[in-house]
Amino acid sequence: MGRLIRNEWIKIFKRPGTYVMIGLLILMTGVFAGFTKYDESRQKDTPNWRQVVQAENAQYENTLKEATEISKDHKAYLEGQIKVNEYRLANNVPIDTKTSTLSFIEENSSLLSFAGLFMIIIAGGIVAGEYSWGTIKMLLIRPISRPKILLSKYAAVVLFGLFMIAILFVVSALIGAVLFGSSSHSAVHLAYEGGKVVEQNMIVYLSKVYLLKSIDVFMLATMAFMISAVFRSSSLAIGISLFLLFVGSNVTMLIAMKYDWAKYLLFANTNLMQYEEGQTLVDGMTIGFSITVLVIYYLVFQLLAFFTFAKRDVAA
Amino acid sequence: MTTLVELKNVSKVIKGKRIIDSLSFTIQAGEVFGFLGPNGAGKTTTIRMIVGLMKLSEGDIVICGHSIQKNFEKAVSNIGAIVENPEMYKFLTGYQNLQQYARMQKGITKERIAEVVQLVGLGDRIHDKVKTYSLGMRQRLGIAQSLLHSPKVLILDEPTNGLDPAGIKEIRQYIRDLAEKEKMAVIVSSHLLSEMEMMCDRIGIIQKGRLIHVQSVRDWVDDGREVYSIEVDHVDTAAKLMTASFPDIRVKIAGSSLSVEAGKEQIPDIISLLVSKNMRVYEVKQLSKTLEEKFLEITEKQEAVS
Repeated sequence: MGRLIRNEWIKIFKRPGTYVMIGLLILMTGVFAGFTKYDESRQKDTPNWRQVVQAENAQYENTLKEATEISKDHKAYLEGQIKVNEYRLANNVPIDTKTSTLSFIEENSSLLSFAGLFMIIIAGGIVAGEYSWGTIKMLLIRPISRPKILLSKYAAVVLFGLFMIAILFVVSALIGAVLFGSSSHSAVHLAYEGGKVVEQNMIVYLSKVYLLKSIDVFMLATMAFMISAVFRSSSLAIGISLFLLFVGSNVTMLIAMKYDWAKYLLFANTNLMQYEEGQTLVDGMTIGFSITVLVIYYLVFQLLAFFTFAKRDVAA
Repeated sequence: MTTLVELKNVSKVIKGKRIIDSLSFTIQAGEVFGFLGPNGAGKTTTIRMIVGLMKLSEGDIVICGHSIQKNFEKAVSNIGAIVENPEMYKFLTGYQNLQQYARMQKGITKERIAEVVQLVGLGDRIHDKVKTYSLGMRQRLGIAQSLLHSPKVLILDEPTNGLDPAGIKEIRQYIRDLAEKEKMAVIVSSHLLSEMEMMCDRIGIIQKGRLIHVQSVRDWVDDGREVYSIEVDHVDTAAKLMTASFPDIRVKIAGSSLSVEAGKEQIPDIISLLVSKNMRVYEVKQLSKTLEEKFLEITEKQEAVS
């Protein structure tokens, strides 16, 4: 299996397009950093963090008082945030009022869909490409079962996705360190869990943010992989998946405004961060529900891919 | 002799149409089997089923004792093949392509790769990207990948396609060596009949998905009946005389001579008949019938029947 994955990895990295993708991702991070730095240089004086935190709390309390229709979960979230801010003031744990390396990494998680775009391109081409090159014949006459070959390809896609995310993380950290420097205080993330404010390691927190934010990217890459295996067309696979990556969540949001069944859509469930803030797309959704829906979508994609790939007559 | 490949009543039905209709034949170790047929007859479909690219609708294919359906991995590990054109990863070098396939099978060493490269004569070009290769070089690379794991059965679809005459001769000799020295069973398909004649021990003709004829090349070329050209002074009278005395021979008038299809032993009788009737015989010569003519004859006969 390892040797098969190595084969796929070589095939990905012997094509110039892959290096263009990596270059673009690094370039985007750089551009993003440039804008952030420029924006900050126009801000003359940095506000006092205590004032910022107090203003935030005032706003939260206002929301709690005035909003009539507020879900229980969201109310709990706001109350938690107030507790966290009070903890900050009481224990002198400042927030960053200027961009620091760590906050820059956190901001750059919005570039994940960009890394995802490249993962989808690889996923959409990895099976269809063999068909269009004609090499599928050479691949399937080896003494290796078809599911195994497909699995090695999927593993290569996942590894490539993780690799791109790692590049984004590391490059963000490097550029952040050069441009913004480390923050002046200890790097902790404060979370409100079970009625108590707890301190978390910032790196662990950032990894969690990156992973949660890349769920939709992984789901779409799996879908692109499935379309690639079922329809043998990379343009179809990449086209549909990228379209959904960019408009999927917005369309789902529109549908959710009118219809409850929107909660069964893939994009209603990819954002697991919604449960942290207690603002779910459709009332009554739980994290268990979302994970179940995600697992079902994932299994359907994989079963379709593996079943058609294993059964199909190769006449290309 | 050991049977390495056995097709048992193999059929393929696609959308209700019988593409392949109960095909049965066996191929022994040390034999080169030619697979012949017009386009669309089902040659490639049959080859695809043997290597496992297509599923069988009925019947079974057994390779070295393993069923391709029940024990795909074991069966196919004995096969090396090129199906249609030898498609390679163009963005990799020839050597990197071979490494890809070497990683997919156990026990292929660096030395074995070098040996195979040496064998097909790719030399230094093996380290160039495949996109710079000519069709002939890609064909050589294709043969190299099919031999990497020293298979017992070799399947080559149009192996001389794109090779120059010297290359064709080389590959032909090479295929004969593989069969005779390594005792491999080789299946070759080609539309070049003269090629087949020089390369194969037996030839199977497939038409409309049915195997209509299997014969050893030597038997085929001389099955006793040959075409002779007989030059006489009065062709019309001679033709009548001959058909009257020998009802089983076929006579055609071709200009100033006769084209006669007859058995070798009949020739002296025919000559003495002509001489006894005071005809002047200037020349009797054997026209060797090529495989191509035989092939057309058989397929046309089949056409007329169906």
